[in-house]
Amino acid sequence: MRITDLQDDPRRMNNVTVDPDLCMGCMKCIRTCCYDVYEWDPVKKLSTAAYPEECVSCYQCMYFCPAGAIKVEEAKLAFYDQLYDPLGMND
Amino acid sequence: MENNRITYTTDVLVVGGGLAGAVLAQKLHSLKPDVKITILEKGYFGYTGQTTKAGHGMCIMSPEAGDEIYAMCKEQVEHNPYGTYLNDQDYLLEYQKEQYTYIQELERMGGKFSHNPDGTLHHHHEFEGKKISAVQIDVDFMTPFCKNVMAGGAQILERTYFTDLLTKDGKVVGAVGFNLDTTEFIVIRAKEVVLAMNEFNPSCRDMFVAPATGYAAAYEAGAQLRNVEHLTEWDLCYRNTGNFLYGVHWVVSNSKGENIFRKYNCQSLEELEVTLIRGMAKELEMGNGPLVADFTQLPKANEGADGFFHGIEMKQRLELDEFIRGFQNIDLSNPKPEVSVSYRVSIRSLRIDVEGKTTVPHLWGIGQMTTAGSAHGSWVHGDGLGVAAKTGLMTARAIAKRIDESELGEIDEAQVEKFRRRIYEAAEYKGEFRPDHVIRYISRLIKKPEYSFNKTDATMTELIEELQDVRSKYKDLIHLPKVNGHYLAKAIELRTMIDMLEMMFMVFKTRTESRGCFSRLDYPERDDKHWLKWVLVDNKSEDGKPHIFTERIPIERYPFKPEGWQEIAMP
Ligand SMILES: Cc1cc2nc3c(=O)[nH]c(=O)nc-3n(C[C@H](O)[C@H](O)[C@H](O)COP(=O)(O)OP(=O)(O)OC[C@H]3O[C@@H](n4cnc5c(N)ncnc54)[C@H](O)[C@@H]3O)c2cc1C
Ligand code: SF4
Ligand code: SF4
Repeated sequence: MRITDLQDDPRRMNNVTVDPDLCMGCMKCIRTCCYDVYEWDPVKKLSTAAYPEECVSCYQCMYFCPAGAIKVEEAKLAFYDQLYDPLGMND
Repeated sequence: MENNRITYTTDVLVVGGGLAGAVLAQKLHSLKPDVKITILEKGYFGYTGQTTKAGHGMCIMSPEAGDEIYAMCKEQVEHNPYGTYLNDQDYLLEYQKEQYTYIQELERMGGKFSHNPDGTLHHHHEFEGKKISAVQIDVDFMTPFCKNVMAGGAQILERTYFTDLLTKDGKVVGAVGFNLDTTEFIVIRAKEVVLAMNEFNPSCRDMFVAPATGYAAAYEAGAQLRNVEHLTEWDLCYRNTGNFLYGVHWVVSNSKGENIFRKYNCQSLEELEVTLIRGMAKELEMGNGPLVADFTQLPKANEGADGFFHGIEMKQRLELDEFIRGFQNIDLSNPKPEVSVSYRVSIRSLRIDVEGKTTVPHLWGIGQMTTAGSAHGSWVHGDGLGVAAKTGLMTARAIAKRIDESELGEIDEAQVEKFRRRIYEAAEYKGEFRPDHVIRYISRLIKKPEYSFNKTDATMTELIEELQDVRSKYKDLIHLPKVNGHYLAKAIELRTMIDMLEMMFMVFKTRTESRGCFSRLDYPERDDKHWLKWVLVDNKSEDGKPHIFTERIPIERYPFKPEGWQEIAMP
């Protein structure tokens, strides 16, 4: 294992954000995300996307959010591409 | 790290509040209203779990098939690519005995299914001439079961992460875990413990990803795992995002316009065979990339077509793909999008008998945790909901029969303390990375061609050494950015992932053949003569390493046998 192998390639990760101006703190995203992406901010009384690295693009949170406050941006590249990555074709 | 300890006492502890756990709890309560039930759930009961993701419906034996259970089971034994002939046929026959009537039982319990205007159950009829059919479930399928379970007075411990099973004299007497929000330490004493936590799937960034915690705990408590090598799956996906593209792998073409499915003589319209994957890899190596899904080769209608996805109108198929592409900003005007493959490997291997009993007294298993372990081998791909519901019902009946004689066991406080320390230990780690960094590293590592579609004894030995190396180093490599429930759980998931993967590849090495979706480069053929056997794992070896052994399948007394079984099966 090399240290560089432990660093995430940002092109392969999703980006998840909660717009604090829109969020109304209903906690639906926290309840519905099976991968624990969201965390409650007890001071601001809002949800935050604390662990976006866990997101699997199921879109359940966006579906449930009544305020349209959530944005899930798909990764640009597959997490691991079995055919192209070993040949260095995605580098 | 000091933590508050809370101790609970119950009759039946159910770990995992997905469909299997909820159905079991509701059924058990209806049979035995005085039995105290506790459900331990790391998420929120009714919201989390794979059940909330399930797509096309619940498998049933087609009502058109009449009473032909034998014909149905024969299909499942002979054509199922997951462990062909590795079924426990006693289990399979018992499992299918109820045909589609279990749907009616679920309906009486509150489950909602789609109906025809005349009130009859709507189902998809037979698939591609097979006797399997499916019924569509409600989007909020979990809700009525959860409500009924709560109305029945079950205790629900949400946000509680189960970590270990408590044992005394080889019997299970309870469990421990911690609260994900408060990090409080939880100890539960129980007469019977049911594991319903779903599979172990190390594919990060995939909807099926699931930690190994449950299997690691069951293994440590002495339970046997069976058919660990059952589940390898490939799907076709868009190259840039890795999102799946179902049912069109037979139109994959190279840059010269050659159809790869035909070029490599592939057969299955349902599954991606290893010959197709190897063919696609070879085309890229030869410089014939990129690979595309050539939608212009799809027929406009499905007349006379065979295969699961051919049963769907091609027009709908194309509309669906257009919808998906639109969502992912993939150029819709391009009829030949670039494709690749996505690989998944998982363990559903807790060994159970037909009642749901594991090999450890007072420990039971239900749901997707057991699909390969029960060796029912039926519909392994696509019957997740059916297995969850049916095993929930079957095991509820079995526990109801026994619970009156069952007693609370003594807790071994030294064992509780050992587990407590192991949970909070990661708070002291001082490395540079987070646990999830190492998890993703391993998740990528095992997908490499030499460890997946081109694996051999030598490459697997190399991988096991690499996993052992990671095990020896990871505590120095990681730290928890915040000492909270999320990262404590990640550290546990990393530890158990390494252990279970090592075990998985040891089992892969043991089976020196290829069978259905399980394939090796060094043993490319199915070998019934030597491998009509189950590979089993438990912790009963002297040296502390996983104990791997085989058990002959009693094929002579089973109704479905491969050709030439007389010569090969007798001891
Ligand atoms: C995208 C997708 C589509 C699918 N489509 C279909 C389909 O169309 N038809 C079909 O039949 N099947 C389908 N399946 C499979 C099916 O959904 C599952 O097999 C089934 O729901 C499993 O039920 P279960 O109760 O065994 O597990 P789950 O519903 O996953 O429940 C397990 C529960 O255990 C909890 N848990 C896990 N670990 C712990 C822990 N350490 N501590 C406490 N709690 C824990 C989880 O949070 C979860 O709530 C699909 C699955 C996915 C992911
Ligand atoms: S898309 Fe799914 S996995 Fe991602 S944050 Fe939303 S609910 Fe969680
Ligand atoms: S679901 Fe939407 S509104 Fe509700 S807490 Fe989450 S982000 Fe805020």
